[in-house]
Amino acid sequence: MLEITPTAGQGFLHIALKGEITSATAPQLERVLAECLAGDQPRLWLLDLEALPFTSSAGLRVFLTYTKKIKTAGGRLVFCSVQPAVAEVFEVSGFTQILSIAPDAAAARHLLLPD
Amino acid sequence: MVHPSNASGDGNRESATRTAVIAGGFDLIVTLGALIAASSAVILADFFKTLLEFVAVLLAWLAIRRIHRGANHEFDYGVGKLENLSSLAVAILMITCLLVIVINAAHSLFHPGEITGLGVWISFFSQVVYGVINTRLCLRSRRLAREQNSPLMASQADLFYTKAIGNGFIFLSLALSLLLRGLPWAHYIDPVASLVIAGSILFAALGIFKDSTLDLLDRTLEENSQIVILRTLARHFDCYEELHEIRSRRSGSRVFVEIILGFPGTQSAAEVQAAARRLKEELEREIASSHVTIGIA
Repeated sequence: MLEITPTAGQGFLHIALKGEITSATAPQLERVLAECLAGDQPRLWLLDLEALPFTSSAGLRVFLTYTKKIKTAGGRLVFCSVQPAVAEVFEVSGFTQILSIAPDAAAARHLLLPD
Repeated sequence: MVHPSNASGDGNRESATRTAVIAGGFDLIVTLGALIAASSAVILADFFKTLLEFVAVLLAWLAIRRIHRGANHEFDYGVGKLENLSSLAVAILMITCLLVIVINAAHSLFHPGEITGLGVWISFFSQVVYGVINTRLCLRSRRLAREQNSPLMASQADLFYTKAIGNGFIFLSLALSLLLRGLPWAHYIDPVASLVIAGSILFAALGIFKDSTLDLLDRTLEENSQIVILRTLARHFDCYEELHEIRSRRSGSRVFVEIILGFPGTQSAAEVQAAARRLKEELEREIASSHVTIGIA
């Protein structure tokens, strides 16, 4: 079960994830991200993982794909509030080297909109 | 080229398994000695169990040696056939051992008697010695499995754990048969315990059958290997522009990975080909028995 709540405004697109990303729920996330990217959305994205205690490799694949897509489209994606188990998977997979990760939403906001 | 840390890991695994083969071979000789010098159904079952365990460790050692020798694909087809023949031989051996143990136990149940002979004391002594050795090998294999994330070492650790439990069980059954020899029902301890050992062999045989059947079927790649693919793509993050698709499957012992990538139009065909080749080579090095295809969108 995965709840995805995109909220536009404040100069960036805030997407909150609640639940778990598995091979069953990853396509749902991919669909929402594709719709957001295709729509008239800001270039700046914030993926809030505060309520995401688990992601499988299927979730990592979506994160990697959309980090690339957003970057290619000239945008920027920042992850925030990464939970310990997900942080460990990010570390093991080397994603901490390529993703922008902020400790919380306020820090992420500052990364996206410095002033 | 072999990566130094991988070479060291392979060396440790080969060394651990070689030690197990030597220990298993010696155990087999001692158990055979006990069998010849004793009249006990449990010691007969122990001999067959030890024989099967020795064959299993020997096959694992041969497999590790083959992996360690590395990229020699010339005889893959022949080696695959050899693996199938080995599995068949182990299966026939297991069934033969089971039949002999069950027939002997049935005979002992109908004609109960005391366990006798010098072999009983040889077996007592060997259960203690091999109980300690198997426990130590189990702890060593478990440590290597944890350090190197090796499923092969994890299965070796499980094998030695089972062997150590077996040593304790046989010791206990012999001890009870000797201590309670004055009681008429105590004569049944020996054949019943041998049937328990036969049950454990049957359980192991079913496990091998299940694993072999699964290996014949196509299935999704394990999570660990999926992470390896993503880690490699993360390492090469700046070499490609878009990640379109990752498809992966395991078919028997072979792994097939297909990755479709997009590259910037500013890159020359030669640069794109070189980047794709680097990625393919790195993945094939990281995932054993893998065939990687990098598609360019």
